[in-house]
Amino acid sequence: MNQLLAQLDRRLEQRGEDIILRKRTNAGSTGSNVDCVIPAIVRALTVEQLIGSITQQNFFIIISPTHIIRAQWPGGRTPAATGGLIIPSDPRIPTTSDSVILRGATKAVQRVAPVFDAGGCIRIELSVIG
Amino acid sequence: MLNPGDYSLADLAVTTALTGIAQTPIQNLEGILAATIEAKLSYGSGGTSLKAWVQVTIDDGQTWMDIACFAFTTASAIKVVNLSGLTPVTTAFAPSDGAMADDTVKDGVLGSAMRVKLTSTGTYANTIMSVKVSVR
Repeated sequence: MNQLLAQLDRRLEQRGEDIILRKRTNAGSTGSNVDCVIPAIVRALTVEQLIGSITQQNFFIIISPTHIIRAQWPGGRTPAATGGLIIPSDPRIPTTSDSVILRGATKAVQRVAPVFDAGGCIRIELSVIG
Repeated sequence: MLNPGDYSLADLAVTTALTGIAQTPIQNLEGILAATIEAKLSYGSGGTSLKAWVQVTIDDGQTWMDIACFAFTTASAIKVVNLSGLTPVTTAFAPSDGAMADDTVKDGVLGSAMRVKLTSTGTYANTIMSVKVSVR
């Protein structure tokens, strides 16, 4: 295992705060959720970061791919039909269509930044608001 | 067992007809003793019929075997079954792949990976099919 990922996993398991990662399937007024509970490092933004349209409702979250893979989130999906040179995006990496339940409130994912090292995902950074 | 817990086997909006569409499997379930499976159709409109076969494999996906079939038509419904991996199956049987009869199960056969295969007829709208499993 990548040393940086192992360090993050250890930190999350010792000091992390549980959040719920939620993928919602919508069809008209009907909806269904697939959730997983994972530890996260949650940071409110500092005064210096509250500029422009960024407000105190924004949070910066760091999660590990290890916990998402362990939970096998988001479960069974229809395999992408695309082939050739276009690689379908990994469904295990959250998207801006997903949401996070954090400290009892649902937050929309605004930005997702998976961080790779030596060809493997070692950290996923999320910016959420709500 | 390894990795007991609740998993989603399928969660998708059903629109045009599906013909034997397999979802990606949940894996690493070695040592599984039991599975409670819930199939839920949240119906909107349209469509004719929809079937979800829950399947397992014990040969890394070379052969998928039906262990439960959930059949739905044009109404919202939730159907649940519980299967045990400890039920003796002492008569050899030929496994089916997407052919098990409506609302039946094959008890006693669980594997290290599990998936759902879907077939529907007609065009559904605002309809979601979700299948969840609790394994232990």
